[in-house]
Amino acid sequence: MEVNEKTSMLEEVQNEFHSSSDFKYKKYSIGEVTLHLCYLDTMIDSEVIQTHILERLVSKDHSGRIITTILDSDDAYTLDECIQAILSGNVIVFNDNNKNKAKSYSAPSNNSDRSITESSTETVSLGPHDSFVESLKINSTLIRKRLRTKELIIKNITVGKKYPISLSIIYLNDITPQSMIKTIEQKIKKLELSGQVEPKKMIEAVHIQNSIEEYPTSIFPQVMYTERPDRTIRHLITGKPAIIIDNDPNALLFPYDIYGYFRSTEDFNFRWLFGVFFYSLRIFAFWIAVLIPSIYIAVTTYHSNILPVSIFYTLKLSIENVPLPPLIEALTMIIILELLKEAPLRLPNPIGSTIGTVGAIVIGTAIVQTNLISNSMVVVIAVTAIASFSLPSREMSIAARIMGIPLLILASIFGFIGISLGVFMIFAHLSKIKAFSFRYVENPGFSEFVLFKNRKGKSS
Amino acid sequence: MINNKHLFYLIIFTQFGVAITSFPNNMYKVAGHDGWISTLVGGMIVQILILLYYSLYKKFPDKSFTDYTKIITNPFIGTCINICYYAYFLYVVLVVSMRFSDIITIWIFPKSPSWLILILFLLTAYIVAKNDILTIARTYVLCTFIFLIFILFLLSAYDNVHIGRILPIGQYPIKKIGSGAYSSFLEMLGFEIFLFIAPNFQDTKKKLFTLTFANFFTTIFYTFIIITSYIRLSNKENSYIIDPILYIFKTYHSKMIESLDTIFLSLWTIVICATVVSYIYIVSEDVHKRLSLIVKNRKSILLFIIIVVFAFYPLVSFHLIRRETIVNFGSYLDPLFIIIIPCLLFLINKVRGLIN
Amino acid sequence: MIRKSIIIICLFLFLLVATGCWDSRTITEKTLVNGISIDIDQDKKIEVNALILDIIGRGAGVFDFQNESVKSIQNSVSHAGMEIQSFLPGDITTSKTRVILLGEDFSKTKFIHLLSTFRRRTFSNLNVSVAITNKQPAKNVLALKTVGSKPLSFILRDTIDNAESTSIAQKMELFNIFTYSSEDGIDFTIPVVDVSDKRVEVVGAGLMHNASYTGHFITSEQSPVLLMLMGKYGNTGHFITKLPKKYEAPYNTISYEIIRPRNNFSITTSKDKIKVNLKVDAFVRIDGITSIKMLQEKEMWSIIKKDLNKRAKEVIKEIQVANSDVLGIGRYLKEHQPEEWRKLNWQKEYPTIETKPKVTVTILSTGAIGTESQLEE
Repeated sequence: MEVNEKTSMLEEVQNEFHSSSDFKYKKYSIGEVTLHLCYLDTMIDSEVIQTHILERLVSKDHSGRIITTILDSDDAYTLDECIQAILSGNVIVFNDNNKNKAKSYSAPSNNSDRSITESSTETVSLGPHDSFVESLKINSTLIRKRLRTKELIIKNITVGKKYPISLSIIYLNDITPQSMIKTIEQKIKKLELSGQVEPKKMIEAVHIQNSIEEYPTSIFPQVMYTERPDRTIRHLITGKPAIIIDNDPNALLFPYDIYGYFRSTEDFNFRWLFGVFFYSLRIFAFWIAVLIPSIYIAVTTYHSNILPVSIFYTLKLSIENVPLPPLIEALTMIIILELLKEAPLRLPNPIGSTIGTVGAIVIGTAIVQTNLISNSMVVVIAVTAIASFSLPSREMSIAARIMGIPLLILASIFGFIGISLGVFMIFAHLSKIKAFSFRYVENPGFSEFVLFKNRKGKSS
Repeated sequence: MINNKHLFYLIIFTQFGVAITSFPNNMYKVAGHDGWISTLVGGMIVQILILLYYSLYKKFPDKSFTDYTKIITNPFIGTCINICYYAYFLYVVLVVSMRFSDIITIWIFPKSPSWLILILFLLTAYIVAKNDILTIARTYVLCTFIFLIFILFLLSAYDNVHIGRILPIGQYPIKKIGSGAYSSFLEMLGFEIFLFIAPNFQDTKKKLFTLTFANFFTTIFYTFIIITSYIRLSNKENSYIIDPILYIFKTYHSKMIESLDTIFLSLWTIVICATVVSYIYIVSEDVHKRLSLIVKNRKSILLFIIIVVFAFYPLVSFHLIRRETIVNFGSYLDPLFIIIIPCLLFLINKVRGLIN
Repeated sequence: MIRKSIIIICLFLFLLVATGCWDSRTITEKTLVNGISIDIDQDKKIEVNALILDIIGRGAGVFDFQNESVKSIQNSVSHAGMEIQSFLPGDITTSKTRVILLGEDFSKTKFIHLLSTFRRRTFSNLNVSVAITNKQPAKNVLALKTVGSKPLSFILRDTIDNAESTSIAQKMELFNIFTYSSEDGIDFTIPVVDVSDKRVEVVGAGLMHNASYTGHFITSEQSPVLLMLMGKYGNTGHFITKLPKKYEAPYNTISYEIIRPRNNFSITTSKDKIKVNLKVDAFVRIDGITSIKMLQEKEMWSIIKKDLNKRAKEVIKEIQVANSDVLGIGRYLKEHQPEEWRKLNWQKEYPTIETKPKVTVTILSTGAIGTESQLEE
């Protein structure tokens, strides 16, 4: 914006912000020097201004210029730069001589930052307990102090014209291919230019995720959100970048293969056998969660001749008086289970846990005794839910349960043939997903557990 | 770009098809209890053909078969040959789908109409085949467990065997063993897709080794299946039970599971679907390359193929075309397209090379 | 994208509504046939009795069962099955049948062909145990319905399984019967059951010839020896030998078990005479000796050896008289010397061939008590 001849930049700045009550304009003069300060009260740390700018007013160097002891200072020549600087937590200082040229000093306040504690969703029993907070600077600190190599590059970019957000792409320069970084940057920039998000919404982590994934419409997650720095470090060391967004404690790890969603952070801290055992158990649990409801329905509806006699009679007893067809039973039970899971989340803690326990036990027992849903169906759906909750990643457990529903419908129409053809379709979908020549389903990564012989991982 | 491991899996999954359950019965009718020798000889016939195909491939490493029919002969005849090949592959898909719906109707769903299973089957084939060849090959790699489970199930048959049922060896005349070899060769078809997916290879190394290994695996597996069936069931039973493998699985008994044939057949459906997927992928890919100006999307060609295949079903069920006619047609078409035409092309190429 | 998913969801719902599921056979609609007995009467009509087990739940996991039996006399087994289906609610299924009883008259016919419906239908169970009822029609055994408090078919199946594992009867299920009866040169045995005192027991192994019952059966004391010779021994077998005459009754028995015997036979055909040498290595574990005086191990060994050899000879004589080639000699000749086989008429030849069994005994252990700690009187 051109500076109007009549009004100086200082007055333009004041006009832009005058309706906001946290904009402060202060004039300090000591002796012959008058300084005009413009800042946003909510964004700055007043201690820094007092100590490093105002106190220096009383001491001048031999040429008569004010020396400040603030590290981060810049010149602001245009109105836009002044506005951007004020909005980012800087103080604009105008000298009395020239009201069209300003210096901006960075003095951000950090009393809005959370202290570093362990995240409640990703707890480990053996390992570091710190996790990311909402400030980009502190998160970058947590990473930088762990990886002390000059190859670690933290690249800050700002996205969004109307509501800008800042994010940083972190990678190791010697092992991450430069093309990957360039492509990610291009995609993020395209997000800004395409106008898909702004001006109605603000760019958030989920928009970034949708733009860098190649198959955002698939059920399976392709980026990993984590709050733990040690997981981010492990990801960076394999030669892949991480993206941290300001005011979001989750780091976006990309690209991720499917087996990463089954590994929790603890697996690498324990002895190798435990890690391998629990990893295999989780993969098995995933397939149980997907397949068991449909296998149960297929067996009881079409293929009961494969059951041995005792199980046959047990199932017959439990299904005897239930009026609903098995498909409707299963869907009803799934809906009730999801509701029972959601309800305690919304209520405050003491009521929530009571409702959860009471609801589960009472509703479960009562439903079975009134013969609305059979005993074995409750068992099957409960096993499915528990198996899906054991996965370390929330998105994967939801994906497992959701994928079971079309298989359920296929099984109730076509029996086992429906299940196997459905699984074939799922395999085809999984093999399709890729990102940057890393395929979604590749080697299971047993060699990542320590003490296994390292084989060169090929991407094919 | 597919590498050798993917090629191996593609060829295996295309070779194993729907005929495996009735394979011992067919062989017994032709070659008696020496059918396992015919299987081994059939594998050798396949090996000779693989050598022929490999030498054709060596001359045109980056082109698909439909490209060099035009180069070797003139473009018009080449296009005619290509169209005949497309029709032949569609015929194979049709026969496989019909046989599949027959088996499912007999063994698992007797009362349902068979076109229902066919809809699901062809729909799955469409969804898998609309991806590119690398995705299809990786899907097959994920499905290796099916073969392991098959071997495990076959091993369960070994508690009631009597090896003497295949003795004395070599009792049947050589002519019978020879014609048995020919019929077993017809059941091991599927390696011809090697020529059609040649443009997608990553490199040209070790292709012969991969092909030979795939053929070796298939032959050994088929021989294992046929020997298991011969020593488990008596000779007369092998001649009149239509699907001996499923019969053997039905007789399995344990405390946990009563009969294995339903589980096996459901898993084998994936392998049968894989055969269909490979063939319709090849046809749709080639047609799309030629007609890329008219038809933008390969998916629409696929859909068209599926509808054509499905449209045959009412013709058969209303007895407009008899089922046996369709199946017997294959005994003329198979040798023509698999043996004769590539041989002719090879010879013409050799002669041209000698003349120049 | 949204449009595509809407189309797919609509298709699903349409399929859900449109199919109606012709083939759904839910568990609750099924009635299980647990045991079948088949008899044939004078006018060559087949009488089929079926035992149906019904489970009635009384809530909270407690149940009652109820055994019904249904009868039908028709021309063929499948026709009788159709009639039975019309008596009963639900879809009857033979996929959990435990045992099929054949009456003695029925088993003397070529019953393989009469049972062909079990082979052709794809949902039948081929794992049923088959047993012949001794000198009575099978419906008499089935009329017991329950033994003690458990249903008959479960008890019968368990009894037959037990007999198989103690080598009283050969492990013979329906599919094995179909396989063996379509082979030339080998016959098989089927357990023979009888009712005594409201309980069922397996009294021996019935000899079959050309897939029909000969009428002879080897009693349950002798059948472990037969199974040893055939090579179809079960897990274990119990034998009792009486000591020579100088020991008085009742202090004159040795009881022992033989586990995992080895057998082989060799056949020589010379000058149109077939000679079969059967060798069995028996490994003996002594279970009990009831003599008063102590026995040396060598003495036990010679007594057992003499007794086993004598019994083996008796068994061989019995099966040759019944013309039942359970040892598989004919099949061996067919496979290894096919030209000889073609010249033979095995039906006439088999009772005349010379078979020499030889049993070698090794005493593995004498249990927890040694040979020198019997009480002296």
